Amino acid sequence: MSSQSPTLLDSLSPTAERQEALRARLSEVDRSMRTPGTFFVVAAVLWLMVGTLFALLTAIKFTNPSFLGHTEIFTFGRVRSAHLNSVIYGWATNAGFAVGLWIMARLCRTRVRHTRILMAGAVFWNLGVIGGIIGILKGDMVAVEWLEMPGYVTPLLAISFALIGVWAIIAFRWRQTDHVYVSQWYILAAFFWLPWLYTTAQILLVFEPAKGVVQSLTNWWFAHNVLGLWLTPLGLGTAYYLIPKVLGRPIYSYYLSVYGFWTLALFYNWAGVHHLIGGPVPAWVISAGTVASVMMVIPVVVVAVNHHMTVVGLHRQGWRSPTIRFIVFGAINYTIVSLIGSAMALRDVNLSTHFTDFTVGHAHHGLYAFYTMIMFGGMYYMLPRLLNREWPSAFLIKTHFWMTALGILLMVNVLQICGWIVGEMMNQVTQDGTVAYTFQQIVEFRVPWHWLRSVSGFMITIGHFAFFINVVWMLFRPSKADQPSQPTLLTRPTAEANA
Amino acid sequence: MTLLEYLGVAVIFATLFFFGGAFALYWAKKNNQFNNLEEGSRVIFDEEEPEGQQTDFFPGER
Repeated sequence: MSSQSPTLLDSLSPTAERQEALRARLSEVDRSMRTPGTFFVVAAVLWLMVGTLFALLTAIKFTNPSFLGHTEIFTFGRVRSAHLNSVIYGWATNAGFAVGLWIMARLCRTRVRHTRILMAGAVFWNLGVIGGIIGILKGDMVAVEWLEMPGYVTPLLAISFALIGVWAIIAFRWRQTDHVYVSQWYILAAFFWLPWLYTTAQILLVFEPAKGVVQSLTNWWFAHNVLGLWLTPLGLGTAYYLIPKVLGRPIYSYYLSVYGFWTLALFYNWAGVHHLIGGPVPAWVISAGTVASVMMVIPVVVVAVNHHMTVVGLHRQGWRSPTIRFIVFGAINYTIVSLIGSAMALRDVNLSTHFTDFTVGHAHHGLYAFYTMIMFGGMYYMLPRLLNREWPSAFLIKTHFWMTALGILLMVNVLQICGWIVGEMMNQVTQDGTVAYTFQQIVEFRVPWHWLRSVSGFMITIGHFAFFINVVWMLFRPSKADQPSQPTLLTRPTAEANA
Repeated sequence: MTLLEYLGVAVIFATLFFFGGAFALYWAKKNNQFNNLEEGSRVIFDEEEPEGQQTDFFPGER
């Protein structure tokens, strides 16, 4: 077998043995990941911009319902679902592919094999998502939350994911290290869990839909687990790799981090049914979901203690790193959003939060303040190493950080405070047993809060434009424009590395 | 799909999940993945990105 270009059969052979000569230096791994990694980042950033546009349209419609309301494709139901699917399957998943696979390759110390397979998967995945979003806008949407993309694109998405996932398994199979680092556990598990979730949900919700309550249970089991068993492990795997890596300090308690992974694997997949508290679902099912949601406090506290104690004493240095700024922000919000999520799964709390903006705020808290911010941090570390060039503008990075951080904090607070008050209003009854507030009064109460939500959306959009400009500028600037001193890169790019 | 058919499919996938996890745990134990964890936490460092050295800064602000 050639050590430079093993065939696919070599790579898939169960009997082939590890060769120490194949152990790659980090810079070699980065170089081998350059094309697929850059493709995933560019696709993710383009989807981020598309998803942001849909988000703004949706937010404006809350205060101005007739805005673009006369054109079918821009009606609320379609634009809202187009936003959700473009950020989950476009932005978040492409970002996870980019950062997750890159970290996996680095930890396995193996060059990326069979780049063409990975690239084919990447191209088809994005074609599938484009087809899905067009299908949603056209009106072919499937009426299942988080699975709205029409049935004619799902086989393409499944095959593409298989091509990408196989690559992660090949990388793990050919790892040139003995110890499996905690981030590898998280990332490898995520690449098994998503197809498991997606296949189950497709069978039970789209191809042979279960009826009635069982359909809702399956739906929320799936939707919650896309966050919990796909995006969360990718986010945590990234944080566990990059916080110690950037600071040059090992994880405070590695034992706890491994323990945290296994408790997450045990508890998270039960939790989704808490979305149906108050629904016509057997009480024991909801109780099981509530117990699992509260048990999630264990892995969450483990992560919180570990990340905090790893950074403690190095805050000033960390603040000088774009990666650490974004990732620590994301890690802190992981703790907060998870503890709020556990509380929301309690029946008494859910009585106020259900059917309100509180849940919408919670979803954005998890997907943006935690996951998205960590992925931004991952890209700030990864892209200079893949391309061997520096980020062009510190000002744009800072604009990106402050606009997105303040924007999402404003959004989450606005939606959750508004949601809590609305929940209390909806539950209030007069002495004769009628509701104290009419539907119209509640809708009118929400209007100023949703103006504030649109403001937060504009702030986040400014941040995204800053990031987008920086990425495009970095990709297209001539390489000779790099300065002699390389602040982000440890070593100066060499002619060989640029070749 | 009837409730019984639904349960059949759900049980198959739940079993896959459970035994997948159990096998991974068994494999990890058998391959000494839970031994010498302190050393394991240091596998992310090497001569290119060594322990004790910060490896990321704002451009131009090192």
